[in-house]
Amino acid sequence: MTAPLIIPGRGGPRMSRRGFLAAMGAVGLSACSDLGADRSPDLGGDSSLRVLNWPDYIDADDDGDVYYSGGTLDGLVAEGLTVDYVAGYEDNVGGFQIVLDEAVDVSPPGFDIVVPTNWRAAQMIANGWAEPLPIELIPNHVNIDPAFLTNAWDRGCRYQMPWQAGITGIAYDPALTERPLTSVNDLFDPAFAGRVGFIGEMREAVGLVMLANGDDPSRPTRSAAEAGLDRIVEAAGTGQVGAFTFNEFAPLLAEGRLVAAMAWSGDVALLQNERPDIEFVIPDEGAIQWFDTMVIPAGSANIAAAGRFMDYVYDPANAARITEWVQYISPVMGVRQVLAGSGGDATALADNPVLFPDDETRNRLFTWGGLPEADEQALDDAYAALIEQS
Amino acid sequence: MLLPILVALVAVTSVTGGFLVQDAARSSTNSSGPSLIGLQDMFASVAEANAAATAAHLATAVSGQEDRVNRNLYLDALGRANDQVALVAADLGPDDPAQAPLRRVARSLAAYSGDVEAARLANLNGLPEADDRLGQALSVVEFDIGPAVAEATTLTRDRFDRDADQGRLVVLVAIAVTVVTILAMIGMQYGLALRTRRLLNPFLVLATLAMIAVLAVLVRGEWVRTTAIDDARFGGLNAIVNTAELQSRTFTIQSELALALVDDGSSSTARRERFDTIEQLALEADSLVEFSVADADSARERAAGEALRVRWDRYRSDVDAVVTAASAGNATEATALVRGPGLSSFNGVNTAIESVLSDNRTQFIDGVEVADSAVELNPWLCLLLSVAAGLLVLVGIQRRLGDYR
Repeated sequence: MTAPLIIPGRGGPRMSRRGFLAAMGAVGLSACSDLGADRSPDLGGDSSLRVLNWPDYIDADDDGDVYYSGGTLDGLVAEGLTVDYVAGYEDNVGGFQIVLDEAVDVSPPGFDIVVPTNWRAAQMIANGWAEPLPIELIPNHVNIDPAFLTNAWDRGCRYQMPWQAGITGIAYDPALTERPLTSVNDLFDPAFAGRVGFIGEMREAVGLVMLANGDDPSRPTRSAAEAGLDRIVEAAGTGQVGAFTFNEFAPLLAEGRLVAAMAWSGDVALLQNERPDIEFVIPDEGAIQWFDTMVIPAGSANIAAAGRFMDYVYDPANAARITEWVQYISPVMGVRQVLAGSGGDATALADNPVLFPDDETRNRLFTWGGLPEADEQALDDAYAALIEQS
Repeated sequence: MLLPILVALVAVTSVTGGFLVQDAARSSTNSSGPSLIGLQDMFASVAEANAAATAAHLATAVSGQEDRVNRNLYLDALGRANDQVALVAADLGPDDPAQAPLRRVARSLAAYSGDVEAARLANLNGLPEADDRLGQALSVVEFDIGPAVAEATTLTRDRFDRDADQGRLVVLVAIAVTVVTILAMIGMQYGLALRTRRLLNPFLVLATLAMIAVLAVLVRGEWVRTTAIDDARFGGLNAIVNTAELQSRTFTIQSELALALVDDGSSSTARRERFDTIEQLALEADSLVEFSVADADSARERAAGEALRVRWDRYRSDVDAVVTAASAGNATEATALVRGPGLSSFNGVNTAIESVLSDNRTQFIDGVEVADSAVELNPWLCLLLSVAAGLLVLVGIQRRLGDYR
């Protein structure tokens, strides 16, 4: 047997921090009061908040109204929480500029929750632009899927709570490709010249091409990333790339202007409601996994309200409603069981491997591992310049 | 001449004691305190690397393919452990006796990672020695790294305790001398009043007040420092140790589970022994979890403690399911449970433990920083007040002689 490692400890009488505070107070030593205080900061208002999220990322009615009766935001109103929900986070460059302009550089920030992608959230946390989560107000924090708890930049999710996760893989129209696509290399097939879409997020596009090159984007090096980028630059130069897109790949595929594209799994699922013939594949080499995550910008005046919002959307029943609508991977434990018990289309979603990847699939998903900030900035700049030229 | 001598004694003892205490507080804040925390973190990283390595080994043995997720967890944890060794070494300083066991940890980590790589390659190639090489790696953790970390922790803890006590005797002497000086000043004031029929010598009164201020500075500094350090020691550090022990048991359970399933050659008795070990560890962990919950003394810590309990219960349930399946001879199901929900709930409880550790760490650091700031200005205040008192005494005495003339 393997004995547990024991770190020597010592017993003895102890005074709790509360006891210490009382003792300090008894002799008027207020300078030490922070030691005994409850470390929770002033959590501010708890009845209203502003949320900045990506478009089409919460349940809405047929008219696109996110405040519809019976929806998630309506449920929050019933709980006494007023939510000003802004679906204006378009991408991690322009969208993040909104965060910088309205959520970080002003005090108090313009939004109480923003939902950047994981790598942007990591930057926010590293730069001190994020508040610690008010864990004491989020008992449903225990419902975070442990797969999201082990990121080195925020182990245990103490500064962010994932909103939805997704896969960047390949979507294609089999009627136009006239063959199944199974590899990232298929996007470089000259037969599809000018009709292939590459995703506008550098880490996802470069990451996928790195996989095709045999490199691991979860442990990237600058040279491997540059090799991936060079290949995209070359493809763009030869006219292989028809468009660099964010979620506009969906209408372009639907209209037949693209035959194949690097694509986000949830957006493809929504597209398949109209075009069930569009295929989404995780390439043989693997696909890129990412997640968008709720962050409270530093200085928020409504941290308590943000905590209540997070707790509400982490209730499995509420999270299942969102998943059923957005069809991305839910980071909330228990959602699958709720969907399975809901009947109808929801039950079918519970068996969808793109929403609930099995172990074999998970082993083929790679999350961008990150490079030093200067290297990432250089790659971001180069990719942005490429998109601008195209 | 008695009074000036006494005041000089106050100056010497209070300033000396003040600097000794200040040095000790800085050592706690910058060296022994962070080193204690760093050792716990490093130990946790090694244990996590070990659990991930055994989980990856198990997955590869079953599927013949690399378990990339656990492999990355192993590499990340090993990288953190190596970084933490370097950080602790820097915090301790070059001459600290804990450097010797720390060097052994560094050497053993290199040997450990070599054994893990050898086991991995053998496993990927289906070679029979794969399990033996993994066993060697686990032995390095158990017999080399574990004891070396424990020794380094003991030495550092001793140094932390010495830091906590350093200068106390001199400060107590200073307090005693100051009290005597104050009494002597009051006595002299009384004598002067009798002989000169003056009610008060204002310079002596001011000198007495300055000495009382020195006394207040000394008493307050020592009291706040002692209380804050005790809070850090018995609150923060003991909670850290408790949580680290919980983490140790959790990692060991995970490794034991993997070994029980991967080691096809072991007898059913040997496997039974492993399961008994797991049960014993789980029982101990139950108590440690309850201690963590009970020990929380803020809303945030209570929330972290409750989350730990929920995550632990999930993991415990998964462990029980694995043991039940394996005991019933259903190795396939047991293996699937370990690689799937078992690993997931293990990651859940592990990060929940880290959250509790983080809160404990904050409490510990708060304590040593309060102790540091409580004595930061003391030697200078004592020096200033003593010099002032000395001058006032001299002027006061001159006045008395002038009155006689």
